[in-house]
Amino acid sequence: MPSSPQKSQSVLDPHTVRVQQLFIRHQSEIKAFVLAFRSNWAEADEIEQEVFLTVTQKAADFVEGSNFVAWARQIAKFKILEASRKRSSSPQALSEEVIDSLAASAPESLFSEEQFAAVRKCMEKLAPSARKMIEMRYRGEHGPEEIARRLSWTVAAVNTALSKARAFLRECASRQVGAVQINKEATR
Amino acid sequence: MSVDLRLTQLIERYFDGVLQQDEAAELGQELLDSASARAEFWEFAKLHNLLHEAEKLNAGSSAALRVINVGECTIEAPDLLAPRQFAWQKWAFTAAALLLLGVSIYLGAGVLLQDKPAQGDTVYVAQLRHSDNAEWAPTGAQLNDGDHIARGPLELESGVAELVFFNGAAVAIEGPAKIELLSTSRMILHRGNLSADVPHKAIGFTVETPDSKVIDLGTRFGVKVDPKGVTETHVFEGKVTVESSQKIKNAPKRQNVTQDNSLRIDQKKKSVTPGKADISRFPTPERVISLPLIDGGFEDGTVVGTSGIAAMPGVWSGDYCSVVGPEQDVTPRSGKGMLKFQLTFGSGSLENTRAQLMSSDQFQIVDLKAFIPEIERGGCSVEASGWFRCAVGNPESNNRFGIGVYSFHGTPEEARDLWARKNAEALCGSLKEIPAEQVEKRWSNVRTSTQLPKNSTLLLIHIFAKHIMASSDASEEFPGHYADSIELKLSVAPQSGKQK
Repeated sequence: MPSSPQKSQSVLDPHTVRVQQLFIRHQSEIKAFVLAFRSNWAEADEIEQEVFLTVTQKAADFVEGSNFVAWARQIAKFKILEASRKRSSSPQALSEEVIDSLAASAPESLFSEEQFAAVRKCMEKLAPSARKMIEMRYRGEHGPEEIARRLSWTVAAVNTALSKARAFLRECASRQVGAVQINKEATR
Repeated sequence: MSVDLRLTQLIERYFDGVLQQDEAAELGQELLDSASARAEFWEFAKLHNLLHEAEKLNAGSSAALRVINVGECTIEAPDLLAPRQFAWQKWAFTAAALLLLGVSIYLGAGVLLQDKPAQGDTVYVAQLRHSDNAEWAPTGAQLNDGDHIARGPLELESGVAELVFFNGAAVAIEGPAKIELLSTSRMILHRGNLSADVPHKAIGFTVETPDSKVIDLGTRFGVKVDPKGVTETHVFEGKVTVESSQKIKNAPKRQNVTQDNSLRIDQKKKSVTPGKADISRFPTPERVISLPLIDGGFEDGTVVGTSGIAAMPGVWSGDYCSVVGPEQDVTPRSGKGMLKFQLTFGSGSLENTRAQLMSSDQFQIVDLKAFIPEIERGGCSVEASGWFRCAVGNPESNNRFGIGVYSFHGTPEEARDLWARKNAEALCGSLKEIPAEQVEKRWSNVRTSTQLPKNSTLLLIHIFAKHIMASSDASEEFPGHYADSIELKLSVAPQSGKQK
C-alpha cells in the first residue's frame, strides 16, 4: 500500500525548544567536532542532522545549566561511530579506540568568530595559485588527485602546495588573533 | 623525515581523505600514544573547519534573501535553497528567528522542522514548490504548495509536481510516478517520468532507478522508468554519469552521457542503447534564467548613450548620464563603477521641450529571440531589479528613482517607436518607484515583475531618477543620484511532458 506523504504534526514542549535553541547557538562547535572525523562537508552535514534529531528526541535527558556542548558532542561521537561502522572498509577510517581518545581530548572550543575572521583575512594574502587550490579543496570539495588533474600538476606538487598554504594560514591566523588580543589588552 | 613532519603529513592526508590503511594504523597509534599528537590533530581540525566555513560563506555571499513561510509568519531568510553555502549565517539567523518569533525551526542541510516539528525521526529534505492537478496516493492525501517533504516514499497518481531539494536541485515529476526521497541530494525513481535541474552548488545529485544510478555533473536531465524497469536517461544540458547496477556485456558499467544525448538501459534484455535526448517527453521544473542584460554593473568601459532608446539590444542609452567610480560619499554597490544620472534630456531632445522634462532615463533593449520556445508555452514572467542611492544631502523630497520592465512584440529596430506608443503597444509592463529620501546613505533595491505574454519578442528595461519640480539650474539637475547592479531574470513555468 502506498504510504502517505509525511508532514509535520506534533508540538514541542518548551524545554525541548530551549534545547534546540542551544543546539543552534552552538552549531558551529558541533559541526567542527563532526567535521574532524569526516573529510567531506556533505557527510558531516548528514551526521549533524542526525545529531540534531537525537538532541531533540533526548532533550528530556539534558539538565539545563549543564555543559550543552559536552552533551551534544557525546551524541555526535556515537553518530560518528555509527557512520564509521557503516564505512569500516574505508582505508582512512580511524579505529573506534582512536575516535574515543580524540573525542576525550577535544579542546573546549573548536570554533571562534575571532579565528574565523582571522583565517578569512589571511586567505586574502595567499598567492593566487595557493588561493585557487584552497578554493578547489574546500569550496569544490576536490581531493588532491582531482585538483592535480584539473590543474595538470602532479599529485605530489598539489600536496606540497596545499601543505604550504595551510601552514601559512595557520601561522598567519595565529599572528592575527594574537595581535587582536594584544590590541584589546592595550585598550583596557 | 622528522617525527613531527611525518605526523603533520599523516594528519593532512587524513583530512584530505587519502590516507591508506597502513597510514591510518600508523596515525592511529601515534594519536593513542601521544597527547601532543592529539593536540596537533585538533589544531588541524580547527583549520580544516574554518577553511570549509570560509569557502562555503564565500560561495554563498552573493545569494539573495528570500521570503520563507514559517507557520503563519513570513520572514526573510538567506536563500533556503542554498543551505550549505549559508550554513554559518543561516544558524545565526535561525537562532534569532527562534527567539524573536517564538517558533522552532531547523534549517540545517537536509532537516527542516517547521513550527510544529515531529518528535520522531522525520527528516525534511525537500519542499513542494508547485503542483498542477497533482493527485497523491493514497487517494485523498493532501500536499500543498510550500509544504516540506520528509524523507520517504511518495506516489503521484496524476498531474505534475515540482520538488526543490534543500541542496538546490529542482525536480519535476509527472504522474503516474513512484519515488522515494532519501536525502537532500539523493532520490529513487521506482517508475514514472521526472526531470531535474541541478545548479552548480548541488552537483552530485543522484537519481537511483531499479537498474541504474544517474549522477548529475551540473546539468538538466530527464529520467524515465517504464513499468518493465527499463531506464532512459536524457541529458538536456551538461552531462551526467549513468551507472548500471549490473555489468552488461560490451558496455561499460559507468558511462557519461553528454548534452542532447540519451541512454537506455534494459537489464532484462542486457542491452544499453545510446540515442538522442528528447526534452518533450519530460516534465520540466520551473527555471529562473538570467537574461542577457549587458553592463548592468556599469563597470569601467560601459558606454551610456545619450540619444534616446538605441535601435539595438545590449546597450544602455537615454538621457545624459555617466559611468563613475566612487565619488562624494558613495561607493558603487558592486564592482568599481556605477551609473550617475545627470540631466533630464539627451543629445536628441528638442531644445524647446527640455524644460518640461522631469526624469533622467536610461533604457536597454533585450531581445527575447533565444527564449521564444519557452515564452510561447506560456506562464513565463520576468523580474527586473536595480539598486539606487543618493549622496548625502541630495535627496529632495520630490525626487524619486524607479525601474520598469515592458514587453513588446516587435524588433529592436522598432523599439523606439513602440516605446513612444507604449500605452497601445506594450503587451505587459510593470514599474516600481522609490522616494529618494529612502536611499540616502544606503543602497536600496527596487524590484518589479511582470508576466510575459506568449507573443513577447522584446523587453525594454527602463531605469530613471525623477524630480517632480523642475530645477532652475540645468547643469545640476541630479547632483548625486546613482544606480548600480541592474539585473533581469526570466522565470520559465514548469511544464508537463504530455503538453509539449
